[in-house]
Amino acid sequence: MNWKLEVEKILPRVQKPARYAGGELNSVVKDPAGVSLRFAFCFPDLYEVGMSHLGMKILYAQANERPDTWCERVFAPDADMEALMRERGIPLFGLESRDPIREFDLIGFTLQYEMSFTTVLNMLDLAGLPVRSAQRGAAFPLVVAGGPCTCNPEPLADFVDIFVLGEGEEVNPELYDLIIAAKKEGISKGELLRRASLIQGLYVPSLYDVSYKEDGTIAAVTAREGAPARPAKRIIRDMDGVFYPQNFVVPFVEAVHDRAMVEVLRGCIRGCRFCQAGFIYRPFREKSPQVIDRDGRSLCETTGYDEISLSSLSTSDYSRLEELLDKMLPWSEKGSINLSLPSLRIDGFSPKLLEQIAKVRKSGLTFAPEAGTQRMRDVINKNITEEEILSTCRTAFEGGYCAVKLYFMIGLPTETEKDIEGIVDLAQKVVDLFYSLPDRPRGKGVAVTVSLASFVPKPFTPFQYEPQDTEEMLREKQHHMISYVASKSKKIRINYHESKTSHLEAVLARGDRRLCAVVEQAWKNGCRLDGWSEHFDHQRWVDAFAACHVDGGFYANRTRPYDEILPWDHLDYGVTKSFLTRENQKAHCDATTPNCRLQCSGCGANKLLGRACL
Amino acid sequence: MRPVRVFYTKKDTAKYISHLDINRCFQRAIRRAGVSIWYTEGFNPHAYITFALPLSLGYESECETMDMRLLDEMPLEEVKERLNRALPEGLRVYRVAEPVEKPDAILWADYRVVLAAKGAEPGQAAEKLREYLSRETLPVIKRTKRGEKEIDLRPYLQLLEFSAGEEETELLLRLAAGGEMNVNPTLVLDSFCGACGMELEYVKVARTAVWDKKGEKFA
Ligand code: SF4
Repeated sequence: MNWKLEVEKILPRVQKPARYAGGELNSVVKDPAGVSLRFAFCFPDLYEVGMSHLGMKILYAQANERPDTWCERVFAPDADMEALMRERGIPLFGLESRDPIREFDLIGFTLQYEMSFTTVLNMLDLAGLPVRSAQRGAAFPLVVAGGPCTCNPEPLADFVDIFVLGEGEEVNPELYDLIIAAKKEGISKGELLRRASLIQGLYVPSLYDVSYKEDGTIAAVTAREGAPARPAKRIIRDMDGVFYPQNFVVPFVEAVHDRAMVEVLRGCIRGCRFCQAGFIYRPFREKSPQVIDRDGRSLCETTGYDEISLSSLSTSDYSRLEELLDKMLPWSEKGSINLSLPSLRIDGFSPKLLEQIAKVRKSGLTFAPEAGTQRMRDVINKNITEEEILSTCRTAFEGGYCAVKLYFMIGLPTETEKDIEGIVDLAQKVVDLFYSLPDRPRGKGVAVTVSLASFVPKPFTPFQYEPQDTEEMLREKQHHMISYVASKSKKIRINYHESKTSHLEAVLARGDRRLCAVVEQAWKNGCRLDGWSEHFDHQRWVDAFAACHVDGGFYANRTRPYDEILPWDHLDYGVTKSFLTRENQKAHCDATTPNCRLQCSGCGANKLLGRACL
Repeated sequence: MRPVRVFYTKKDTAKYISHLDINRCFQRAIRRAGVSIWYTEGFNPHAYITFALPLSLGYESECETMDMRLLDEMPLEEVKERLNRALPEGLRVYRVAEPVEKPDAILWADYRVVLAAKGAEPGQAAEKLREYLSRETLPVIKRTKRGEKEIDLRPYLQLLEFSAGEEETELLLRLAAGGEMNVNPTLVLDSFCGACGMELEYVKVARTAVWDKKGEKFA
């Protein structure tokens, strides 16, 4: 069958066919006969989402720099495309070559969120491969997964051959070399996996046995065949020397984030206790302004983008932000390039900075106080005071802003009704502040949006031991908030996201290998693209849990004792369990921990660096 | 400021770039090419470019045009070369010239259509199609902004060439184009399928020429 012709026939019949057509500017096409490794880089979500993702852009460009490797992009097809592919038997293909990816040597997924797990299985199946690792007898294609969710990859342990722990720029090339050597030698899959397990940053789940106690908790995780007892994540030590792409593939269809991006720093100094990214990406490392500026210029030239963002977990913690903006503002202004600064912290604004920012951005302001009362903010270690929030809003209002979006969480550990009311009270204070200002924007009202998310306890955070509120508890809290806000101003709008996916996220994030069966069953029930409300079907998950006799509450709503063996305890992410336990105890005493710049709290991540972090 | 018209072809994977996306695609190409053109002013300035006749998603074309306003004295040959270096595969500029007519002078467009019918013998399908296209009247339902209305396609459609091959049938259609009456090949084929009870396995369409009111080639 000529797949390429078949693809041409169905493309005119699907929505936004450019998502499957390839041929975008800067996409890389090579002669398959001239390479030793063909790599399908799979993003288990739609094109528009995947094409927004910086990590994929970095690793795609880096792999293709190698003359012996051809890396192609693969995204999850939307429902209409999938139906036609299945109807005509068209296997999942690489965008660049349109060759079936089951003929590739390496299939790599990036796991950005738990709700993409069923899509991973669906993509393997669309490729024409068995979803279970044990049923793929041949060494190739080898199925690998990386990204933040691999810090607890156990719910996917039965499907993925190798997990990449930590950052990929160093370990990926080592993996490519290993595969190329293995192909030459013709070694078995078992031997390949054994060799992979010895490389730092690679975790081969099939080389670990997990046993359980009667109460359902883990008794032991035991390494076999010489695999290390605690596989460790990899990090890049020298951020200025690390590979960064000098061009991006420029999509025809608009991506969610369709712009140039430069990476400013990795890690975070803050240590907010709910935030997984704040711990798993430690330690904190910055790039120098010259390097960021050079990368940014080059990207704008090669892509033609008119927007560039400074990307990181917390760009305002960049120690040389003013210096960087001084470098970037002249050429970006001259070229009508919009400089955007996402993830700015509320306490990171200085008057000069605000002035620089106001030059480039006029849209609404967003802040993330995360909790409504000072006590609650102390518990989660979000070191912002009400005065700081209000004084920043004041500066912003005086600078012409009149819309503010505030992000909060509900269901946080130790939360009471008072903390819920505190969210509304804080929003109300922002409203009152606006009307108290003589210099407020004329003729305009203020709009304060409160965006609420349910708290999801995550591995490698101080809250990894905490129970998540049940759906009922969350619903009650939500009702309480809505009736409380009704008694206040009409200038406050509340946006609340469904708690059903939050519960599932909590189960999957802290799940163990017994969830593999549930994920597989949910996929068989028709789940995929679960992150999209139009595709998400809660009942299919409920049925899957029932069919597998697994209680989601065991994973989501149970307090885990400090000495329980957690499913991810055998993975070394730098941050130690004793530190996380200490932080959890402090949280329950409403005690805060200073940020890394003020004082090192001995989290353990500096071990990966081999020196002090800052 | 010098108004120029860029003539380009749109082929292969570029045929899947929608009309909306082609605008953004050219905006970026112009930036990469370092060709300085006039920008709209105001809140969100962007390169001022306009496209003559929207092309349906999935169609190829040998005769697309985009108008822009050059700010410097760059030779038109250089504009063409720079744009070609900056454009993605499938989009190729073949000429840059001063515009002669305004886009509202467009009256006709030619389309090469290659199709295969589902189930039917190739010869049989071709015969039906030829018969259909030669009817005295061709009533169709056309959807417009103001709702649906029935029109007779006959005055707006000419069959210029027709050939039936082994599997595919190929035809060259001249269809009314422009602001007053714009007929899309898909409308013709859909009404053929409806009238003759046919279903198409696939269709490939390419616009090959655009004509103005004086009968001269617009692109
Ligand atoms: S080792 Fe100290 S400075 Fe480094 S990340 Fe951990 S707490 Fe922060």
